[in-house]
Amino acid sequence: MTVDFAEYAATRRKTLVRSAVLLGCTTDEAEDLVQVTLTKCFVHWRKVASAKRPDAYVYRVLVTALRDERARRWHGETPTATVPDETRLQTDATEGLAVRRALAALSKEHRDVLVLRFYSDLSERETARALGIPAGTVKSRTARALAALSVDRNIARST
Amino acid sequence: MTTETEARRLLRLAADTVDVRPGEPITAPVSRHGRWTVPLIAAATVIAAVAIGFAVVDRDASGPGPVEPVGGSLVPVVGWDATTARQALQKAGLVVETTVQPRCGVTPGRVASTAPTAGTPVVPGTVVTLGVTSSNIDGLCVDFESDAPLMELMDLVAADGPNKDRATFAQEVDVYLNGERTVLTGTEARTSQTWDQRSALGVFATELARLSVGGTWVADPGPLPVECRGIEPAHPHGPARQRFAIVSYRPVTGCAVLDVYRDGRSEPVPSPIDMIVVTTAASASPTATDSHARSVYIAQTFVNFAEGRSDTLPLADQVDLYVGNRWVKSLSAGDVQRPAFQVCLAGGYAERSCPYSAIDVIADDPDGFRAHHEAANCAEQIAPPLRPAQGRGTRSVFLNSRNPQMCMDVWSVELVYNVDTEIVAVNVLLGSP
Repeated sequence: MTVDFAEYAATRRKTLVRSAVLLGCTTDEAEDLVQVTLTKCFVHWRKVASAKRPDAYVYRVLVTALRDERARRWHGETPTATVPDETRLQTDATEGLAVRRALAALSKEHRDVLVLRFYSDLSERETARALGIPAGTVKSRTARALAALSVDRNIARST
Repeated sequence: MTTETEARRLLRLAADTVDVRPGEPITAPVSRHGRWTVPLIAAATVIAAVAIGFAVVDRDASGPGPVEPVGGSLVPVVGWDATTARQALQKAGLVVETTVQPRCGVTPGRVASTAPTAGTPVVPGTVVTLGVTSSNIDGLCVDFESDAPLMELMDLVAADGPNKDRATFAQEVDVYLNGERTVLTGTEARTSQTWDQRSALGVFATELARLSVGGTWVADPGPLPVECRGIEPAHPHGPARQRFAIVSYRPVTGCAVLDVYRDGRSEPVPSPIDMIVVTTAASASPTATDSHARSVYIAQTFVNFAEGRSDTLPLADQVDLYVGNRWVKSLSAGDVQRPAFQVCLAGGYAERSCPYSAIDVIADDPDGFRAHHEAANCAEQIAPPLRPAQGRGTRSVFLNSRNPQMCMDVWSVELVYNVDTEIVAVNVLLGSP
């Protein structure tokens, strides 16, 4: 059974936008990025819909579009490259925000694998395809990213 | 150590802090024709807002320009060998279709035109139709000896195509650009880096690239197209000279003629190219019966005026100025100078501050313009979409921003002209940020 594009877009847009934010976009950038992604996917929707996991295809397009956008812009990752300061940390003390700060403090490579594996629910192989890296690299990066997350001071303080 | 299960929980907590605004409804088109409408319109809009980069064709790279726009603009491929162009576009994820465009005396298999034109936003899957030359027109073409030197030169100039290394030059090559003579060594003639300094070939290379944005070319043309009226390059004929000519002609910005000569008597055969003549010209005033040429003429003269190359415009006694299809004021032809085109509009327009000026938007855009029969996407029309001066037996031509990165960069200037090929109204349309 193939997935209807409109239905897919309606149900998955929110998750895609959130994934893009966790990958380092502002909300506005994320919404634009998701729009671009869905537009590109729509052009090939029969192919996307017939895929075993349409999400994997869509996330691959999203990551590629994000990478292209980053490459085009001189300033790179403005939204989350800076770890929030101590003052803001104390006032925004919810665990979710703390996790976002922790993600922002990670390297891009580690953040990408964490978001795609554990929020976007892609398998190691799907994550590897989306990022254009070997599956073994995904595995090793994931392990390092989880280790980094476990000692992150933002999360440690909030929990 | 954070476990995978814990990581999933943490990531979801993080995601829940992201407040996502409701999106616009996204619907799929119902017809096969309409299948492309939504994505292409959306792509044009979105790509304008989030420009993803443009394919770059490096003339100095070996082989044809690899086209890598995963979202971006269609690169110019007019003049390319069709196979090379097809491969490059397909690499970019575009779907390539071809139509045959019979041309007498031209090597078959050359790209004569593209639809959409270069510079148009494309996404993977966009269908690009190449108009490919064919010389198989029974009974219509006169015998024409091999145009190989011309095509080889075209490969060298336009796209580093497959035959570029076959182009041979004499030890000294006379190069004329609009009558001005330069002498190149054979090595300089075939080295694109020298063209900027001695620019006849560079000029023609630019001309060929521009063709992809609108226009076409013909070889051994016979009578010149209407756009090229008034352009008659001096042909330094000599005994047994062999001449190969190519004419490019474009809407709005006129045409260029490239003539290539070699000595028909010298050895080896084929003898090397020893003279190149490039002549360019803007469009001349057309006849009233040629609507296309009239649009070209109006557009060209207005651009020349906007960019300060000319101080005259073909104007009717009264010229109405519009913004977003809304009438603002009228000018008397005798009062028209560049500042007179600056107008304001109560309540503002397209979230920009006034003045709005058809002259300024053209002159201030470093990327230039494209002539079209309709306004650009994103151009905000605040009044009902009625053509200015509707009902006066007029025609319109639009000058549109050529390379907008986002809706805020989009502009259109509609020039409305009458049966006497005089401008009666100027309408400025701007994209909303």
